[in-house]
Amino acid sequence: MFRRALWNTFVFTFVSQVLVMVLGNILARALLKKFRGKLLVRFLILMPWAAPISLATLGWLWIFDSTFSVINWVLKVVGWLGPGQWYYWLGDPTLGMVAIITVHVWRLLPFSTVILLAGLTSIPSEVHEAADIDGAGPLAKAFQITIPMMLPILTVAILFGTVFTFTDMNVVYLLTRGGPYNSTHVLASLAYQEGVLGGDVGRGASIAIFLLPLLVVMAVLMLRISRRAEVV
Amino acid sequence: MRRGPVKRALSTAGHRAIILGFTAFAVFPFYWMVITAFKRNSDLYVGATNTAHNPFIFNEPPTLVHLYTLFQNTLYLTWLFNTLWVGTAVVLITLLLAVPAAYSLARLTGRWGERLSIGIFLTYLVPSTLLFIPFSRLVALLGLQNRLAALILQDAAQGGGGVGHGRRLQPPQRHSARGSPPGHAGTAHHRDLRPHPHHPGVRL
Repeated sequence: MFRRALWNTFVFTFVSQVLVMVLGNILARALLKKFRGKLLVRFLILMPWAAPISLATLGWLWIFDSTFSVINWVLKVVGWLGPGQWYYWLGDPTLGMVAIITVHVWRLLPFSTVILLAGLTSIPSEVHEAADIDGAGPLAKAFQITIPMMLPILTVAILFGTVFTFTDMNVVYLLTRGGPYNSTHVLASLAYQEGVLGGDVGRGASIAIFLLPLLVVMAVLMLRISRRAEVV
Repeated sequence: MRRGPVKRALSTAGHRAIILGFTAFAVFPFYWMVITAFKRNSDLYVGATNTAHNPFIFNEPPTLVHLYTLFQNTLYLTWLFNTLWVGTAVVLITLLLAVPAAYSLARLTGRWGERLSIGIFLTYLVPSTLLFIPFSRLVALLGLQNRLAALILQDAAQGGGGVGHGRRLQPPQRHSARGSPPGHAGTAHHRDLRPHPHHPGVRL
């Protein structure tokens, strides 16, 4: 169970961070442009970050419900699910992991978008104009200007997102309670189950402490990079 | 080189589709919670296999029965008051402890200052489960079981990691002398972009 939880912790963190970075970049670039209702859109997009995750996860619990899932209803209507076919989102290990990753991405996307947006707006327009005069294409501008200039702030976004996903137990615990068959536990939720609910304090502490060396490395790395990026 | 009207229209449509898609993804769980709160049970508990029943809209007139149950048959107001009380107390205690600590850390230069701030910042990154376990013992020792003070203690301890931000309180003249590094020009400068891991709403 511990090894599975360890594996899940890495899978959830890695997959959700990759998705958050890709989607966050797309969204931040879209938000850079001028359009009507920009302020309202920014407010709405920030809502998942502002809402308490435990309450928001309850909403997702109903969305992923095995009997009443609105996703299944849509898939049935569009013909994706044929007769006798059904997705048990929280009753299948793989689908359970998909559900957890979806909620993590939903929650962290506004945070990464705000950071990436700050990074994008901090690049002076003169640099892009100079590149245009020099005949640089979109790819050259992306790899030689945007990414290098955003690297410090991009690293901060990745590190913070990684730590938030790594240390979170709310999403897993509220959505699947580590199930089915303890297949979606992460280290934080397993530590809570064993140490607090199970009453085996020593075992819970040993699971939770297993995270510490990794967190120490991350914390040091994060603060060093943050300092270099002048965010701290 | 000027873009043609077709290309421009396609670009605008693509941009709007992206914005609409992300906004729908962000807002949908809230819409779902709101509509669920006002739906009658007979409208709510219809299996998703029934494609004739559209779950996105009210198929029957909305009801306030769930809110009535919440306020009349549960201790919702007490829980609301508890949330406010714990939240206020934690913010006050954290500020009271964190501001002097952050200021002193900011004044502490050299290697020790950095090491100390990293050490304090660690609490910020530790999962709450790790803190629950020793804290359950501490709460029992202090005789705070089943009391709001236990929640305040736990949350204040977790929030205390915020003192690690103390390095941001460095005197302004030092920053102006340093200038802005590449890739960073003011927008994120000195702004707290980091939320509390367990109370995400409070720092953005």
